[in-house]
Amino acid sequence: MPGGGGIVRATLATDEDVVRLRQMVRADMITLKFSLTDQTKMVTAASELARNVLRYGGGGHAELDQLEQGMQKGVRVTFIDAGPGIADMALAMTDGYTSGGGMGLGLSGAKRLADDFEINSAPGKGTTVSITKWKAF
Amino acid sequence: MHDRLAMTLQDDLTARIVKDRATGVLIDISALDIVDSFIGRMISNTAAMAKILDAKTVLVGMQPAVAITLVELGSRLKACARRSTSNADWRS
Repeated sequence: MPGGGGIVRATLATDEDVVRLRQMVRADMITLKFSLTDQTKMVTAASELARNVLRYGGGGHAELDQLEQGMQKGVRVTFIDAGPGIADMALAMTDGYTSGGGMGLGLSGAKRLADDFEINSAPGKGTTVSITKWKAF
Repeated sequence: MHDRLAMTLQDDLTARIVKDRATGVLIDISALDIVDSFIGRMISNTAAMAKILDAKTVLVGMQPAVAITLVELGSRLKACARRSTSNADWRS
């Protein structure tokens, strides 16, 4: 169920876009009075996924949405790219980045930091990842 | 913090360690309101480079929300010690 002013779209093509997206997510969460810890978790998760779009997805965009569900409000960020897609989802969701090889996708980390996590990806079909953080109001 | 800035920092820092024959490096991250896996790797790599150059690295100023997030992210900031205040006397 949508709340707020509708979906805001943010291009993800450069490092500057990642920085800008972090600021946008931070601003939305401040507006909804999320705790500093929740803000930091969500902005960090958004940063991971935005970098994935750049590094693995060949660029793409993010969509920010404010949601309402019963007595809760939420911020949802969806990351969309038309890149090669993920061939092995199970492998992609492991903590690859701690292996030191630098090949981890940060997906499992982002999933831990968010409340809701959804991913849709297939080879040749691009990737869509969405994360949501909820707050009681 | 701009991401490319983090990589420039790595280059500049290692050059300074060599030039000044530094035996210790203090990395103050109190200005960072987030540390994601990319930035975490930059810090870790910088500390590892310092170690190869025989300099000890101390990380100070980590914001509490950042610390909580790093634990959940599963990050392992290796190769450097952490101190809770910037008054740590790391010469001793």
